[in-house]
Amino acid sequence: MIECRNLWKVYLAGTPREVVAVCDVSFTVARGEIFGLLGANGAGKTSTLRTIATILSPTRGDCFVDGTSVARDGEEARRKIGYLSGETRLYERLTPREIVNYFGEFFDVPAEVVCERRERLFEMLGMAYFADTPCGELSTGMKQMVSVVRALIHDPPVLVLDEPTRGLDVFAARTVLSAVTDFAGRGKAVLFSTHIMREVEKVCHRAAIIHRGSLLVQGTTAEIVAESGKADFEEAFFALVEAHDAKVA
Amino acid sequence: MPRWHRFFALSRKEILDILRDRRTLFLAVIFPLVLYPLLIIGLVQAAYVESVKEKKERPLVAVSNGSAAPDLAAKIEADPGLRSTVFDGRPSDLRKKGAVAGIVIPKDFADRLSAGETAAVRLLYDSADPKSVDARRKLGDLVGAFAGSQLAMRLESRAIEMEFIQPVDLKEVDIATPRQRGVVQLGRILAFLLVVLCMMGALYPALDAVCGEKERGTLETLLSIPATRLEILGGKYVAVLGMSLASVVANFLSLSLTMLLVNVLIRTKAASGAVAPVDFSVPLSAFLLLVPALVPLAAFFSALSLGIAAFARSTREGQYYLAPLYAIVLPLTAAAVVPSMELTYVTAVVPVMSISLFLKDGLLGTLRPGPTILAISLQVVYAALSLKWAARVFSREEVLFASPAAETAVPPEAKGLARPSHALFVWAVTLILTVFLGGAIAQRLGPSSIAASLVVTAGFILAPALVFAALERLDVRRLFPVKRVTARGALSIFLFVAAAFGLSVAANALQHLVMGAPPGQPKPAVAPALLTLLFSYALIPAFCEEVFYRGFILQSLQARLSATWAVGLSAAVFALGHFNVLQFLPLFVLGVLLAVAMRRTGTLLVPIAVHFIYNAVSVTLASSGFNPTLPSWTMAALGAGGLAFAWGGFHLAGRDKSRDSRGR
Repeated sequence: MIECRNLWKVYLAGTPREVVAVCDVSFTVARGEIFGLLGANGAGKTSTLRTIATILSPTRGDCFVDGTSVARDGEEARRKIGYLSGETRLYERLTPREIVNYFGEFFDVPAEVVCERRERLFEMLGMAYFADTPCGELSTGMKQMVSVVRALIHDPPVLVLDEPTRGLDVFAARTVLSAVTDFAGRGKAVLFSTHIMREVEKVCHRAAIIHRGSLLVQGTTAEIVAESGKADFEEAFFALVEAHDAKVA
Repeated sequence: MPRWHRFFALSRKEILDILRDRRTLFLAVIFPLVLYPLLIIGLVQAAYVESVKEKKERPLVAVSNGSAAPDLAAKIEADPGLRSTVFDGRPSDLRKKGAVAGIVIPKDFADRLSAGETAAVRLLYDSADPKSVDARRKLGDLVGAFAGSQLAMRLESRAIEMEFIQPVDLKEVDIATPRQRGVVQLGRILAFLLVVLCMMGALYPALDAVCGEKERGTLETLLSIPATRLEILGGKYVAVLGMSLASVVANFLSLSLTMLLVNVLIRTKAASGAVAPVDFSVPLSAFLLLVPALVPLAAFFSALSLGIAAFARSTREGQYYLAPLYAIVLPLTAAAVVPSMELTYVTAVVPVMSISLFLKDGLLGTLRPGPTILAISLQVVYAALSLKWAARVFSREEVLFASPAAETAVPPEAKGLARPSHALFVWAVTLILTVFLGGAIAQRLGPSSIAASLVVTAGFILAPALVFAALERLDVRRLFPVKRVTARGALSIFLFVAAAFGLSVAANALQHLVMGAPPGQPKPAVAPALLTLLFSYALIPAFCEEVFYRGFILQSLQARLSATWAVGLSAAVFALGHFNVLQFLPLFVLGVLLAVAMRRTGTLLVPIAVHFIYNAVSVTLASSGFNPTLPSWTMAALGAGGLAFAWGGFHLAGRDKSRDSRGR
């Protein structure tokens, strides 16, 4: 479903100020799988996800979303992706219903389908009671729910979620995580970035650790722990990162 | 979804978003609808009340030595519009008595009158006090009437008819219609206002649509839809353009309706004879003619403000970036208020100014078809160019997603050099020093003296850069690169000098063609010796200006900006630094040429040599009185020759290898 091949993202490439944000990253995410991308702030998670979501264009390499190249046909790839990040906020002056309709229109979803899907998702996530309140007046958790519906309204086969639980309280975070598990159960490929290790252990089928733009390791959490020779996932993460830093230095 | 549908949906969302922002809507549309009626009608009423009060007011005037002219003094005392007192003829006493104007009658007043001579009467008044000016007019009228009656008596005593001393009776007839009289007063202001409002109507929605989107974190959401960047820009563009035009129409209508109300107020007063009949209403035909012409202007402002706003990360930052736009547009717009400015083939070329003058001439009814067509079609071209630029800005990832890491990183090339903003700050300091102290120094030391040249160019231009470099511990070798000149580099000097002459003469001619030739400068009475002139006008400026402009400024700019920007900007500040608007273009061309010579050879010695030879030859020719008037075709030939020499110099000088190794 998602296939990243030797992806590079370099900001201001070719100028004296160039910064390498993503460095030769390759991985795949299968249908129905939740793949976690774990890394500290500034590790390259957001740049990787933005590039896959075609918000940024790759400097080198490519990524295929359900067979469509993001480098060559970004517009078509975007139709197959539901993208959600800490930076995909909502128009505060519009209501959840207006926003969802608006995005449905862009993804060529017929109005009656948008209506049916919207009401089903609002029902499922318990959002019906604030569907007509301007988003500026909603709580962080409510807004994130609206964003989830917004990202899903065109029923994409692939979900790219950049720290979807950031800034949420425990209840809202749990609702989002259970929704993610639910979508994967319906056959969607989910790429999920976070810096919270418990989330990876809890929901991801497989995961990768990203540090300074490079993927250090990927596999199931058990495989990663085994490879590092440490007692648990958290210890494994620190050991791998420190080993990489020592190698670079 | 077909493209047009997507575009339509994008614009609809932008318009909905703007309309939901009550502040923007209020500022652009509602505010003018309420403001003008309140402001203008309030002003008219206040002026009316003031004029009535003025009529009722009786200023206190003083008469000195009134006994010498009892008739005149009695007339002043009896005037119903004045109160009178006496004073001793001195201004201090006039003020002490609280009088606003005074008449001083000479002791021999009666004697001189009876002898048939002229008696000198002094009228003391205070031009800074409107009440005194009013009293002066009243006193002047009284004295004039008195003199008239005396003249009539003298003529009668010699049996001369009044017609004899008044061979021509001039009667003036104003053929302007009341509406024209109104438009003359209103048209200029209206043209100015409409252009400014057209800009403001675009600025605020553009800030909200771009910076607001970044600030509220919705830009990434928007970019995740299957639409191209250009379609997204297009949606915003239509919304911003719509707001700008809505703002113009709202303002125009509100002003027109307000003026109709003013008419009603004035007519009641005109009927009572208080004011000459003036019609302030704007004809509907003017509205239908002028508002469509504002579409390309609104399109120009919309694209420009969207493009500029894209660079900002927040609305506040956007306001800083848009401030220079105000600074440029306001003077251009103010052309409409300058009485002598009108739409010609030359002013039609200047963006914004052309439309501002078009509106004014349109309202005054003095439009000429040729310049009008040129102005509007060029404004359409400017609008298209600005849209193209905005599209380029929007397609640049690093503009929309500024990476904080990339921004703070200091490129290795820029180490030891000044930041561009700091370099321009130092340039501004040199300007301030030259403006405020340069003139005085030149006056004291002699305008062409070596001492004055040394103080001004070395002290006010070079020294600030050196002080800054020392304070900031900059790398002097990189800031002022000097190395051995190769044989090819030395030869290129002569080609660059030839190019400088050809191009600057052609650029000079071109500038005069557009702005009109300046009056010839008078020759100084005592011309200094040629050697002095060579020192003060050639050697010292060549050294100091090159070290400053091609060293400090150019080196700092080119480490962080592209070559084109660095060369262009350094040439622009070089030209502006000479404080001579009429010489801007030739100086700019010279600045570009010298910067190219610097970049190609990598040593300051080459531009210094070119600058010195160029100035030395110019000074020698000028002091020998060589000033030929060349036919215009030679200008084109000189320009072409200059370009050829510049091309030759460019290739002969080769390439600075030390810069290549640093990655450029």
